[in-house]
Amino acid sequence: MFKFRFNKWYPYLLLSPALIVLFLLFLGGVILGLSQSLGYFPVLGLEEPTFKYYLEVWSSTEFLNSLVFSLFISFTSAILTTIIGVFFAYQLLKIKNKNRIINFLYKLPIIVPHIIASLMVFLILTQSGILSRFAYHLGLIEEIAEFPRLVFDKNGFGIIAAYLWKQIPFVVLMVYTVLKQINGSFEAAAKNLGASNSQVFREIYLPLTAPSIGSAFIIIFAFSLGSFEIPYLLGPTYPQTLSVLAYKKYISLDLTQRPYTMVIATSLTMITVILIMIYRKILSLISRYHL
Amino acid sequence: MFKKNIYRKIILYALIFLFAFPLLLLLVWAFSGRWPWPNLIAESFSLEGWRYFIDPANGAVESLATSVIIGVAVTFITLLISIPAGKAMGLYDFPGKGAVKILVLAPLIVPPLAVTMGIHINFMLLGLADKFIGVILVHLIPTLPYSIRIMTHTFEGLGDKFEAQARVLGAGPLQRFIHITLPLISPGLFSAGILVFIISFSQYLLTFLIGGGRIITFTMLLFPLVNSGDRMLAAVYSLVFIAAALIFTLLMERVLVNPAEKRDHFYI
Amino acid sequence: MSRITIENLSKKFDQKEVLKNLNLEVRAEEMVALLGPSGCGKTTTLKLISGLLAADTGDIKFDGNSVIELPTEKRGAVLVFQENLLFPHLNIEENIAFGLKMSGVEKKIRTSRVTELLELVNLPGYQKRMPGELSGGQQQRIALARALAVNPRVLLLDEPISNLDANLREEMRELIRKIHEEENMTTIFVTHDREEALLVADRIAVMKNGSLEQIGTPEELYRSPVNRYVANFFGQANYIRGCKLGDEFYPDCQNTELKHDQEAEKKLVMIRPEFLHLTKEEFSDSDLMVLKSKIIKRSYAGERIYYQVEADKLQDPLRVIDYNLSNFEAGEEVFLHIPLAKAAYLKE
Repeated sequence: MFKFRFNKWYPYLLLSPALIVLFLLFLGGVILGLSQSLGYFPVLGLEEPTFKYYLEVWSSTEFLNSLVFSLFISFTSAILTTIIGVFFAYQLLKIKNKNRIINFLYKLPIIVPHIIASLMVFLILTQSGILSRFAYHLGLIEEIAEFPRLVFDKNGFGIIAAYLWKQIPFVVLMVYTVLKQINGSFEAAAKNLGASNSQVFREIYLPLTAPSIGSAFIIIFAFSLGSFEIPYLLGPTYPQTLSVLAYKKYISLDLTQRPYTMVIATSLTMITVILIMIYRKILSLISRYHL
Repeated sequence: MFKKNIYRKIILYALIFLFAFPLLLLLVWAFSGRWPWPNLIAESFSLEGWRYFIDPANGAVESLATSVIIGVAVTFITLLISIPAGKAMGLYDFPGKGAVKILVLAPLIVPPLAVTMGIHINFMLLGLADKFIGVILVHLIPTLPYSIRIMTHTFEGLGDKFEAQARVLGAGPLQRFIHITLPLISPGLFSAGILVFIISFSQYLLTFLIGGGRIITFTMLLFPLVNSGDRMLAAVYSLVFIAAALIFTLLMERVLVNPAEKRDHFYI
Repeated sequence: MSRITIENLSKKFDQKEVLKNLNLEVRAEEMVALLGPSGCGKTTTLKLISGLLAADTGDIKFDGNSVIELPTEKRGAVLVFQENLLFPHLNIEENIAFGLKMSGVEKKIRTSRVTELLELVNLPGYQKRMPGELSGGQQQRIALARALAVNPRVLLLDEPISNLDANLREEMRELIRKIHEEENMTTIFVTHDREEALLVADRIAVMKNGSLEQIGTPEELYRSPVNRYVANFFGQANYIRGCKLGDEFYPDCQNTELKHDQEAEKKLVMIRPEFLHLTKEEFSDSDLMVLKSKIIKRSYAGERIYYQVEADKLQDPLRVIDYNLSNFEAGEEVFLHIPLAKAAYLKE
């Protein structure tokens, strides 16, 4: 009898170290951040929960500009990454002897961190960067100032470029893995029925990979939204992304500002959570009506 | 058909070039002396950046060692936690498994910045802030999801039959783990290990917030260099970083991992 | 080698009863086959005996002592899985010696035991090979050797033969028999293949829906099954409903007096088609029940002829296998002789 009970609890026993760490560090962090943003901050003598910090932050232009800027950058980079990534994944499917390419794509984004990706964008796209130098030699510009500001610009061009560099391989591999598993005979059957290459892609591969493309999109969107290094190193002084704004306020050392900072940080969490919930909802709707 | 293939290859090699070219640029900058606009090639080459890097007064080598020590500790602890967790997730069905799965994967999506800012004050109160142990603990947050996921896949693929077989042959729990489970999960263990090490090695923000400027890892030095636009030094440090990560990866792979097993795990 | 006693063993998976009050006794040094269709609980029984699963209720005894509380690794009931599960990272020698090493047997003894076992399974000199280099049949034999190495109290084999190619099966059957005779190992093996069970086992336990239908020697099961399920499992059968009074049997209880006679038992008689005889002339014997019949169908099959006959007094036609090659035509009137001594009386 003891043995039976032991079996029942065994998985939880195995999980307990992981759960303890995730509860204390991760959930603890999320919950503490939330309570601090609600003005519960005993260290500062604040113990009355209130929405006032939310109301103040959410109505400030600084926050709203950051929000728009963050969403713009994340959305643009996620859309571009996904389109380009899916395109390359499909091309990759069609050629032979690609193990070395895959290996390269697999390793690159793992080994090169955000900081170095930022540096590389910096070396290429700044006004004194290598692209500007090529432009000069091609006779497109004559002076350094004529080259457009692609880094530290208000459109976040440099930030988006760095995200693309870092995230395209991820999408290529994720989508390629799924494409590879799709039975090749679907394609043969469709072609036999008179479908062209682009029709095969639109009618067969795209619908079948849609869920993983969607997941890839959500993951990179959320990741860009919460990421700090790239927008800090390549972004303009104004507007700043939410993550940079939170960071700047956080290190200001003025502890009375802390609840405002935590509102920004918690807003980031909320946006990502809402996004995932919407995505799951859409996915379940799709699967309900298509199957 | 033949033509089409050529055009595909051109596209793909363009992609590869696009991703490899910046690395090349990094290499040239690391050895450049003077390289003013609009020259395409540096006017002079020098090893000044490398001398700066090696000079003990600048603490670069020491910080590299700090990064490696933290990385190894994080890897060890993360794997120790992930082996049983992966076994539970990969082999058993139990009430609440769906919720655990969400909890395990959530740190991939929820910004680590928000989480770290939330727990920082408690780390201070507990005396974990500004210490090695605090930095190691906070690195568990971004690494655990990946390694638990890899170990889950590993155990799913392996099943529990080999362990059952060892059991009926008379092997006790510890013997089964050492003689059967551990050797059989080692490919997954080492891919997880490589990934965890590199994630820890690449951390900047978490180390900065929790380490409070006292724990100087390699990225602590690299970040300001990139931020201030010191291209030559930043390139040198970046190359050292990439080389260190690459050497670690190749070392682990060559010695221990079967290349066919390590693919489908991603990291942005 | 132990005597295995299973008492009222039950096991549920998610409310589904896989085993219901199983009772079974396996004598020491006996080889018993658990026979039944997939899902009848035979593999579950092996896992319960080995301890890999915990029973809900009931007891398992080795030589009269309950082992239900003993953990798997201390029971000495070694299960050889269907997939043979050689440890892929260990060579053949290390695989076979695994159990001995775990119990701390010294290296020299291990080595000589491995050599001995490899000879027993006809794979001498394979010590340093890796499992991946061996064929499926060879792997199965190594798995067997590995199980024998620890001198188990009972050897449990899960479908040891059915996974093999047809040409390897006979070899494996003979090997299992040979090992059983040389090592005198109490053995329980699971199979869904009737012929495999008949050829290899000393006794066969027929299982259905988680309980034991009947256990007996192959001959007992063939000749005197206790119910239709077992009868059908071991070949073609004719059934005759009727009443038994003393030694007499009355098909359909046609003797009117019988219907009111309290002592007359309603019975179902089972008789195999090859025990029935057809003749042109009637001859009687006290053991024979003779019925006037008509041939409905005749199928010639070389050394034997299949007939379907309709007896005047019976509702259902009977099947007859005739090895005497007596030549009757369809439609011909004949006498059907039923040797009641070779019939089995079943419960309805």
